[in-house]
Amino acid sequence: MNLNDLSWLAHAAPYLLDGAGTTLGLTVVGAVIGMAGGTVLALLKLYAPAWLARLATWYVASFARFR
Amino acid sequence: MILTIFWAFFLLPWALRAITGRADLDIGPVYAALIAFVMAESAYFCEVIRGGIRAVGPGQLQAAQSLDLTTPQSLRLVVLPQAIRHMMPALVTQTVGLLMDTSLVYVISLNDFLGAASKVAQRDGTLVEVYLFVALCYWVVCNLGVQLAQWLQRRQPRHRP
Repeated sequence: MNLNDLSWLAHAAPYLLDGAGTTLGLTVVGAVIGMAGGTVLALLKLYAPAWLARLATWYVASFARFR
Repeated sequence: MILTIFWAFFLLPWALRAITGRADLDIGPVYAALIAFVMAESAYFCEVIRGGIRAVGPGQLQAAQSLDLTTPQSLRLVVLPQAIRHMMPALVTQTVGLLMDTSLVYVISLNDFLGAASKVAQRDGTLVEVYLFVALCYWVVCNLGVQLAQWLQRRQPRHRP
């Protein structure tokens, strides 16, 4: 192991960049659509009729249990 | 989160096949991961956004409605613009959490940054170098996100109007 030798990075770069693209893509798309869905759920919880608010609360609580 | 990813990868295609009757239906690992993250993150983002909206206070909504705005108009024009300021630090923190959670997609053999690094490390026999590099990359990105969240937190007004 030689931490000063970075020649491995040149060989690894295409694969790492491909993986980084997947990671960033999942993060950005997941965050954007997640925020839109989260806004809808939050508005349902706060301002929707009681049965819809309960449905949204159940959905959020069911995922909070897995956290 | 792993359970949600498994559901989206195995259970969702099975349910779609049962509903549509198409035996060859498959959503693939990328869409399965995306569906899992959107389903879970929308629940977490919901709590952040709800907290931001509640931080604005009911008087703002009542004042907007007294100006003859409908409830959707009041939310869009008055409440949400103020709420976004309150929720931004938590939204950034949650997004950093999502970035870290994406490494869990290895369970469905999706080639993310960590998965690609793992394969390269095993192929080239450079385990320590590659994993240190990956750790450094994650640390830099997450630290930038945390710094951004803290900067947004400092920009918040200290007293509510």
